[in-house]
Amino acid sequence: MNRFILKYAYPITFAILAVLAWVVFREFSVRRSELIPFAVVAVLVWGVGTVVFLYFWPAMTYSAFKRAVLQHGLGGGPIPINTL
Amino acid sequence: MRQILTTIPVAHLVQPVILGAVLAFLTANIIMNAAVKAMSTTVNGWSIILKCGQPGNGIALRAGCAKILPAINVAQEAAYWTTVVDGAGRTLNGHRDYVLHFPVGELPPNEAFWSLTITDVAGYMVRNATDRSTLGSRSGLLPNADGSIDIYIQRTAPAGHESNWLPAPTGKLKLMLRAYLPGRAVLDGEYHVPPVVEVH
Repeated sequence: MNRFILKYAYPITFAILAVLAWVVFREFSVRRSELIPFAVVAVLVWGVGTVVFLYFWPAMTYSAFKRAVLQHGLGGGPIPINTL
Repeated sequence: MRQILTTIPVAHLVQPVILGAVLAFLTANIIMNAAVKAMSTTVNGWSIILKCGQPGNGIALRAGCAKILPAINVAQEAAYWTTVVDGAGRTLNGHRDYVLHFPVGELPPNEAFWSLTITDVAGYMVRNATDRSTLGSRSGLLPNADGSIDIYIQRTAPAGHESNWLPAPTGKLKLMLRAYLPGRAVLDGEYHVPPVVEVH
């Protein structure tokens, strides 16, 4: 799954964004009056979330690698190479 | 803010939160890629970044280094070059044959060892008939008559050069060259990895 996501990152990203755009469009079609609260919350989460992702990215990465190494061992498996 | 939030039911916050989180994830990735690109040096198609692991890098570069090379060493411990293109700038592909030619005295300077690893474009090793995904200073590479070294990157074994053959996967590929305890020439940016050359 990781390999699939990494290999097809752009198509997957566009697919997710397309789904989100459709959801937002549907939401506004039904509840047009909630545009401002919707936008405020989305922008707030966007801004804060960006910093949070950046700050915790190394910890998240290492945690995932540690889990993968403990479960599958090193080399030849699902772990990208870095230490050969 | 409270007034805004209280005007809509909590259930209606789910969608903007998900939207914001997805956009945050994508934005963080864009920032990480930009930070790494800004600090990378690319010569002959090979990119190297020497700033990873240093204090005061800032969260963008720190995250970017963790993204491109998780658990990367500081440059004094190991230097990493990566490429997905040949010397002419064309994307590396297993359907073509390549040679990486190291002239005499131009192997990666190091005080430990060096290695060249081949992966698919996502950075994963791909199984092959010889179960070999890496070659290096400990692989018993055979030099040419003039002392230079050629590494053959292709799908089928080159006749007479099997010991210097790095089997290529199908499709796009990535090469990573490492030098552990790299020499001063690497740290000073004076050493450049030779280009990967397509063989016709």
